Amino acid sequence: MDLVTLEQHSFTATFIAYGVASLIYVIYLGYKNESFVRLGTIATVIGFITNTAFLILRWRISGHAPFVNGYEFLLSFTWGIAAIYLFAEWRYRTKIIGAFVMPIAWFLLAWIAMKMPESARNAGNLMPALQSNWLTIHVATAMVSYGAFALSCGTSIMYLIKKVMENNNSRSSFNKRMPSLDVLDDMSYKSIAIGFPLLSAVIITGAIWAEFAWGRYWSWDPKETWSLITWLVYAAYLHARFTYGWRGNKAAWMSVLGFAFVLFTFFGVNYFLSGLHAYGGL
Amino acid sequence: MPENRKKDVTGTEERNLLTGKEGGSETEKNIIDIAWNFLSSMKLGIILLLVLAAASIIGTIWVPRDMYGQPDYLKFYNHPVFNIILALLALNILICSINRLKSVRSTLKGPSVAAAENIVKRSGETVKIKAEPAQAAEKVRGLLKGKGYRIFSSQDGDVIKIASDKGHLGILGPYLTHLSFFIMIVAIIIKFSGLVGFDGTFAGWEGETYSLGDVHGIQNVDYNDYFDIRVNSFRTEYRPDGREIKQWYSDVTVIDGDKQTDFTIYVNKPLVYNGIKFYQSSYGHQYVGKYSGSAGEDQEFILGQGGQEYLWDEGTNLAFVPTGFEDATKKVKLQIYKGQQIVDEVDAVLNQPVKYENVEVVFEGVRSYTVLSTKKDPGVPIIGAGSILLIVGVVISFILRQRKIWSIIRPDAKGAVVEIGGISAKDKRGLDSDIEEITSALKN
Repeated sequence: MDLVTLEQHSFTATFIAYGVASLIYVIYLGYKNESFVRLGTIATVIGFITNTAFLILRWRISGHAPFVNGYEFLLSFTWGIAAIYLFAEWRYRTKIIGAFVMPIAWFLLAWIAMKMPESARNAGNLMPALQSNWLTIHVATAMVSYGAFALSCGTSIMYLIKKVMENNNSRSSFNKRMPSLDVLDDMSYKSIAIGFPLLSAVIITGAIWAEFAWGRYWSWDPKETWSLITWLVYAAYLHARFTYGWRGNKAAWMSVLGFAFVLFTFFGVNYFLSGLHAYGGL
Repeated sequence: MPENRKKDVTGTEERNLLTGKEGGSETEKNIIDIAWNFLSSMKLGIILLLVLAAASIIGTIWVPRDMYGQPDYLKFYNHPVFNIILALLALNILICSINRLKSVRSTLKGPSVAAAENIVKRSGETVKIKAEPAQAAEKVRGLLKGKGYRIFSSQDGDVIKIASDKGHLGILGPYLTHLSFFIMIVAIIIKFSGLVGFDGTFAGWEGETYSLGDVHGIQNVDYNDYFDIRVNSFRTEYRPDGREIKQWYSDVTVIDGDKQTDFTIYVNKPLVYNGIKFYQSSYGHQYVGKYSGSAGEDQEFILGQGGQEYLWDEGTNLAFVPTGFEDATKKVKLQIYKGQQIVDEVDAVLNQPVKYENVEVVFEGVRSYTVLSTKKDPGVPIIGAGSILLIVGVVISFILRQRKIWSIIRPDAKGAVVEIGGISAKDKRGLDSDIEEITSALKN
């Protein structure tokens, strides 16, 4: 089997594994069975391995870091989500979060499967502006940062749901098995505490690279501007949290909003706006 | 709001507990006070961050265009209104930083033992130990030290009070972050003041030597820093398919007095000399050759710079459009149109005729020029320093999260009673687990 076929299979395997994992985690919301949900973890780990394999194969095939077109971005993004999620599952020993995080990764892949034409998926050559070592470090940091924001968004949604259930005095096992509000709030914040420094690094490495490639560290290109907007939203979140004690509902809503901005920076800018950064071709 | 007050990072809560005063209770007497309070409020800061975000969004949707219809993002972001928002934010950060200086100092100095009573009363746990108070206190100190806490004790009769904290340096994190913001603003002001540096363009033909004075837009460069630049060649490197461009190169020689230095500039690899940078930005070619058209006439032509853009044969309605030149193979990339329709793409080797229908074209020579964007910006290293500081500050503020624990040890009929409680703005869970571990260690 040649590398290209192997790469296509690794995509399919990742897609299926994340799909199965999402399904198991979602079923687990209403069906408490620990050995059943362990299958979800196994599926996530398998997906993570095949996702990694995809990126390595793509790197081998194209001869450069697999961070160049929209297809490669997406698989890097899902890799970041799975990596951060597995870390959180291990760290917090709770699997129920999977129901709110892994579907994000799966939807991203489903979106590729449905929407992206074959030609946009192929490994391509690097255009002159992209031929830089900064490409790897810039996108690699973005990948982990965005994964952390995805986790924060997932736990914030859980917080909001649990809050409503608590207000209604829900006694469902679903409510009982969700981590406590405090833990969810803490997880959401800690994810941002990982994502925010990395996002700062993404913007700065991008600026350094732009200084080398375009001779301008900042040109208000839409992608740059939107990454700054995302940064500002999370900065506002952090200030509100520390000085006004915005926790709970307000913080959760802000984290969800922040992730909406991440997604827009990631897809929306390429899709709706044009600029120097329009390599993605989504 | 009692729940919220607990989250105060600055240690004002500690002071409030001592004085019994609520924060910000001074009466606002005059306009200066009102203005100062307004500008120093965190609320304003958060609002400005969001306003800045909103304004930035508008700038990416409603994009001003330049005279050629190209997006001109700077027109929006250099607008005075946008800059006023930035300036207000800068002012807000400055005033907030000044206001906070006191609490930073007190945080670095360490928590005050006097606050112990109030804190343990509110959030404390009580443990009874069979030991002398002095021994019990020693045990508490040992446990705290083991967890990396700084210890401050005082004894009042039989009662021992211990204040302790860890991660106090974390308070410097936000300071460094905000300082970095300032440093960057300074660099940007330096750039836009027009007093130092410049943004310019340089265009040069192969084989010619130019002075720095030929750079369009040059200013603020000392004459002693002037040098000459010779363009040896401009090259386009294609991928093996012969269509996709791999890289553009400009081979230049910098002539600085008697010193000559060769450089190859390409995208992502600018030339830096005497603080002036040259970036590969654009290029062009002049093609010369002969053609014999359908009417049988022979003509010489010059296309590209200094001539027309393409060759057109009236009889056949064919147009020959050169789109590039591959230096390695000496091939002109040629597109052939019939009317508006592209009918062929060929590589025309120099001095070898290309025939389409009954039109024959021979390219005899290609001369190229390179366009380098040229700039000098002494603010760049300042931006770099600011960026490093920003990352360091952000990382410090997330890694070092201050926890403060107070303990009071009193004698008791059977030994000693230890009351222990604490506050942490950023790491309540870490604090709770520390206190839990300490109390359970005390019980055993």
